[in-house]
Amino acid sequence: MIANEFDSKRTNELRKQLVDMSTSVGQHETVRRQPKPTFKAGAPKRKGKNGKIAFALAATVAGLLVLGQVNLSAQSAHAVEVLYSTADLTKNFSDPVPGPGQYLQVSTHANWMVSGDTFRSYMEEQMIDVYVPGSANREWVLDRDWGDRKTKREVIHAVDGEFYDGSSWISTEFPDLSVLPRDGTALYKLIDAGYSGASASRAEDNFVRITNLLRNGLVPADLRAGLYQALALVPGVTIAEDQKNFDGKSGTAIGRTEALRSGQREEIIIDPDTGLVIGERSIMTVAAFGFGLNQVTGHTAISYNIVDSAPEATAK
Amino acid sequence: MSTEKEVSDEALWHLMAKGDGEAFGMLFDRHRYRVEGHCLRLVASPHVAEDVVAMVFYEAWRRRADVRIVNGSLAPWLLVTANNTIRNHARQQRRYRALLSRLPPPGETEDIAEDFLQSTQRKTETDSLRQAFSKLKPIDRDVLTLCIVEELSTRDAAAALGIAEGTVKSRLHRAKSRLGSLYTQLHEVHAPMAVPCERNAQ
Repeated sequence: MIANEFDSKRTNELRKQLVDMSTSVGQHETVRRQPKPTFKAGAPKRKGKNGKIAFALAATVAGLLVLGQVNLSAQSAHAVEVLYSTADLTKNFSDPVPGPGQYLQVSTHANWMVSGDTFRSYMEEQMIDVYVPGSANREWVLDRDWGDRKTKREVIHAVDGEFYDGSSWISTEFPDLSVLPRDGTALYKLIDAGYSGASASRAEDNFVRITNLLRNGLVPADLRAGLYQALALVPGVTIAEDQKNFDGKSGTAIGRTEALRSGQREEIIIDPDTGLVIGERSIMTVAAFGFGLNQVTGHTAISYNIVDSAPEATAK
Repeated sequence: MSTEKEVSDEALWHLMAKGDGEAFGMLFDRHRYRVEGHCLRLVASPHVAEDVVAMVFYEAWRRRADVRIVNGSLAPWLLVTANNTIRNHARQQRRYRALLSRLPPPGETEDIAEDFLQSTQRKTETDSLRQAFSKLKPIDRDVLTLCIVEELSTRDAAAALGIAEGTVKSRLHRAKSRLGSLYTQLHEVHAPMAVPCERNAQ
């Protein structure tokens, strides 16, 4: 057929590029929103942070950059210790449970790097609320925007959080969390066995797939504990204490710097007192591809609240 | 592969937006043949067509917030984007120079169009058609691409292009007759003239 005439090497490399570009940038892009404790109709106030907008050219840096303070005080051995103690803490933590008719509102206030026209990339804030119902027979609610709360907001209701075409919001890889083991080693083996050659390295892929589960803020405490233990088994994981989430709340950043992705560091930020995930951050630890040293290319804050109602679905 | 088929383009698109690169890879696997085939019809060199295919998918990524999925398929959007990419080839090539340069250099293979179009006459006809197509207005090209080449309904084509169905119908009618007359003109210019007479003369 005609398509077979295309150079297979080029085609394979193109495919790899496409997978990499959406893996490396896309993961900072979707998620969620809002620092406010309860839902209010209308556009929430969310401006006023210092220097949150960054403009970067693909090839040359121009404009203000948001810089992360990365003091990797902890070596890997210490990271393991912290992860295990956090896992112990988390096991004993009681997640907030909504009563019948109530919802657990998990709010994410995010600031992602997105690409615009021409070569310009810029940081864009986004808010995403997920409402998990207290009654199993009620629908979940997703209230999100696509970078503009006023004009690009959508509210979707769906059973089991399958907001888009039956795809689970919690995890596409593991849509049913109840079947996952809670033991860290078993979880690590399961994740590692699912490695399909994606990402810049196997360790990066495992780290990303574990944190993909954590970053929604929707996994229960017992599984969270296991995932923290599993992270301790991923080579190259380090921690940085007293780091800020996007709303300025302090936490412990568990991260991994990927050398094969020009020193890009992905972090999940947890509250050291509760083990709850309170955000994530992505930092360039090497000035490359037009990014400045320690430039933050993704930053979120997650908060949790029990609320009595969720917004109505918007018309499709 | 069979499980892959069960996932809709929309779901894959959503997964991709959530950072699942493999989902974009699957969309590429699913649609690249159509985009490649379409590009090969419109540009003479397969190497250029390869670059256009790459740029179409880069564009899909860059403009991911604006992509339209019509009737569950990303294909119409990709094909219209291919038309635009061919039209703005130089500009798009500048935009994506860095990405394109990271792909392996084009292979040493002969121009497949040469193998593909064995007879001179067929090549002439194809060239004429290509040229005629390139002389159409962009919107007419898109309407023809979707309605004739891809056999989409006028309704789906309208959704893909973001215009009224009535507009698609009228454009389609006009584009067909315009393409026909352009083709006739160009074919007359390019066609090898009086070949039978020369043969007779020998």
